[in-house]
Amino acid sequence: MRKNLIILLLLIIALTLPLYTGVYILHIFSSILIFLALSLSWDMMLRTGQLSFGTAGFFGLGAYASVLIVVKMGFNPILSLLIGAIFSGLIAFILGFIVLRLREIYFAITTLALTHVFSVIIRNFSDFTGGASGTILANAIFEGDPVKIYYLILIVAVLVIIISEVFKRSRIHYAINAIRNDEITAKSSGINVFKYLLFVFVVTSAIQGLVGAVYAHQYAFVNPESTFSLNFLLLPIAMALVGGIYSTNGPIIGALLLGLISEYLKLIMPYGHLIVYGLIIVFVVLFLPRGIYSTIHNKLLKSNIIGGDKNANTASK
Amino acid sequence: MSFSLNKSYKVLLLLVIFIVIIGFWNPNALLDGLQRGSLYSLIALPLALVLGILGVLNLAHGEFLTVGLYFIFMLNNRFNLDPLVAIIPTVIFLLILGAIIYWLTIKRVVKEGHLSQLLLTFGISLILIETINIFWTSMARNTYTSYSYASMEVGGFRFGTYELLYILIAVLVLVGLQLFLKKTRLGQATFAVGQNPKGAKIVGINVNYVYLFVFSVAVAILGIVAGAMLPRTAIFPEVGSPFTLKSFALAAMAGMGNLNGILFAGVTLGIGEAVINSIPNYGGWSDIVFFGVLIIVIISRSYRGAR
Amino acid sequence: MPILQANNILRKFGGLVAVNDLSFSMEKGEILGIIGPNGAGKTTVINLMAGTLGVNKGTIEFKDEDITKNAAYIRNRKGIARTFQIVRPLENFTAIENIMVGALFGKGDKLNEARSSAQNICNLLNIKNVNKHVDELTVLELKKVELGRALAADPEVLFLDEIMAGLTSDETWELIDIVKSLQKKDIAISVVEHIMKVVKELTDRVIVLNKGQIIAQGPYEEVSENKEVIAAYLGEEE
Ligand SMILES: Nc1ncnc2c1ncn2[C@@H]1O[C@H](COP(=O)(O)OP(=O)(O)OP(=O)(O)O)[C@@H](O)[C@H]1O
Ligand SMILES: [Mg+2]
Repeated sequence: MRKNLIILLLLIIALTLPLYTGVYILHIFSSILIFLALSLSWDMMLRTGQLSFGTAGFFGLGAYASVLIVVKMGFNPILSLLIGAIFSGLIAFILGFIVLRLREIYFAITTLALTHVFSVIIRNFSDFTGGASGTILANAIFEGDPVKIYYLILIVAVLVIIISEVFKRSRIHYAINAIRNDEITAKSSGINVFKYLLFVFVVTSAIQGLVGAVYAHQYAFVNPESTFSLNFLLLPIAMALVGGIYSTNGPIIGALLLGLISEYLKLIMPYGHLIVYGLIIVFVVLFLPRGIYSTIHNKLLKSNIIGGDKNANTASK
Repeated sequence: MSFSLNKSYKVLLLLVIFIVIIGFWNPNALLDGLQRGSLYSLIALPLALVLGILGVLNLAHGEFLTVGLYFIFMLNNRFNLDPLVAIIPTVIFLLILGAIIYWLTIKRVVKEGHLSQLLLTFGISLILIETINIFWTSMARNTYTSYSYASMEVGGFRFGTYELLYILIAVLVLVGLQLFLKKTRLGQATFAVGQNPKGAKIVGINVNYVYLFVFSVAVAILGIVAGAMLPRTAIFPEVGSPFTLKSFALAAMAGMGNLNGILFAGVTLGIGEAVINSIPNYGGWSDIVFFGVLIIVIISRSYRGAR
Repeated sequence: MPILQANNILRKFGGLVAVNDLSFSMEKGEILGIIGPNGAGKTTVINLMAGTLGVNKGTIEFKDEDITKNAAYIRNRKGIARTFQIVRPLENFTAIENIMVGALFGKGDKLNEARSSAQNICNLLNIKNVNKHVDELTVLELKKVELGRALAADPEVLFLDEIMAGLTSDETWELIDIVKSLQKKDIAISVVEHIMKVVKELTDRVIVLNKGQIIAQGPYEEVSENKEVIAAYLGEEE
């Protein structure tokens, strides 16, 4: 009950934000929501036990696909966002048959290498992609109207949150949690491990492609260096870690917290403000492996501050 | 893990044939490739050592190189120390830095899963990059020495002599490392820990000490590389970053723990890169050599490993 | 007519032949004992039958269908379930959720159905702390959860790999009763056991493995007198 109220309140704040804030604040929140969506998508893959370092790669593919289809073929920009998602999803589907055989560091490193391969390919097909200098859109989406762009990004973020929750509350949760725990047990219990891995890989890559497309249309350009920037990998990871992995709330809280902190730091230290991400990743891995949200949540549960019966609470998860 | 020399004869022979062919076809690319390859191997060796012995893939590897480069740059800039001379204080500095970082952080995740290890070292890499950003900004910087662009002419073929140093250092470091592992007590202990940490513990080897030692030495070796690189390299905060993945590519290609293999793999890929680089209009594709080979090697290993 | 049948199956690990040209079958409602010294290949046989490992040679038939090429998850859905010698619980789940996994994917239950199926199994196996996380469970409870997850798939064939090992005498009797009650449900059960008291009490028929081959088979009383069997076990003592 109280949970629903909080969600409602947050949604109202998010929806009415443009009424009482200026362009600057809207811009900050747009960027936080972009990273929130990436962070959640990364976490959704992690829930299967597979650590992906390919987030920036599929983000970049989606961005390029949607920008190029508008520039070269005159597609409707809104429709092109979907193309970005579908393109990334499709590439993930094809690559999935190969890379999803890999585990642990091999999967992580291969997805990172793929990110570089994507960007090298795009840089070298310069006739089509604009090469190293990239491609510019004649117009940002919605003529660059910050309020409309904010709502677009909000819709995307809410969509991703809903997908994450659907994952958590359906049989998918049982399948991927089992796979992460023990693949052999999962297999012997009737779970088609590869099918679930492929499904989650495609869905999360499509999300990353969609987010990339939106981002590209917000700034009206793509270029290999900034579009495939590892920031689109590192920041989402830090956010999920801070908030708490394997959950929907964790990445949301992490994105808000880190987004605001780094925005503030950017003002007082122009170079190196990202250091806070590094420090936080290290700190969390060493001292709060469950993330801030889960740690606080568990503490409160133990001391019975968030009322109710502990068993009932864990069972409903 | 095997540090064997024997198996590599066939590979060595193939490599020599490959080198001769390239040498006739495009001597510039050959020399360029040899130099690159030696440099890549030199940087990959310590990563492979840590991966082989601790089982930790250090994603901050390239950033330790960057730190070394900046440290030497600072010594050169402030105290006018020649980069090659500055190697000595830099190695000491990195040895201490490596030990501190191991003791404060890595030590706690050596026995954890890959997730903690990768994320932790990822975090450390970000801290190192951003620290450099804070002190030196993102501006690229150059160091000039009188000798770094010296060149030599042999039979009408002109080439830079300085980079031959990379080849020399690579061979020296590799031989030094092998001798150390085979001949010294500490080296043998390291070898034993790499083979079987539990067994090593039982026979009374202090595994934690060996880990600390290996990690610090691995970081310190990068100081040597940094000194050799600086005169020919413009530095910026991300200058070392691409080397992490490239190093892993070599380690994977050579097979975990095969130190000699890394030199072969490095030279092969270095020449491959240089050859593609020398093709007009297609030079940009050379970046794909490492990543492409890395992906192919990992995947083909996974197929062979499958039942 | 046998429900599950192995025809000349063979499995190597490098140079070691762990299961060597082995044939046997299982019948509905029958409890088959698989015994033999350590390293005889008992667990490997289960792995091959359940699809956890692939065979190098030979075929496996389930209800007259060749399932040799089927992956483990498909065999589980068709009705072959197993437990693991060293229990492999899903650590992020509670006891009942572990069992739900079997119902969801092995049987194909919907989410709400799976919860009630799992609850039924908990009642059957007398698992009380259904909402406890795996790391809070006792050895007996872990074994029951392992068995429960296998049962939740509603199997026709069940392989139990040393489920009594490490239990007290009382606990062992409790599990023996449970397994007997399963037999009445017409499940074909195979038990791998080192505890001879259990084998004697439970099984209708026994096959004795040594070095991946059957060296004797028949009722327990007969087999336990067999010289070759005694020699194989004595060899192990050294
Ligand atoms: N995955 C594997 N890789 C290599 N060898 C294996 C593997 N699994 C089993 N073996 C070997 O195959 C042989 C048979 O092993 P198995 O586990 O089937 O024996 P077991 O009869 O179950 O023994 P125990 O009574 O000790 O459980 C042993 O020699 C074992 O070492
Ligand atoms: Mg066994």
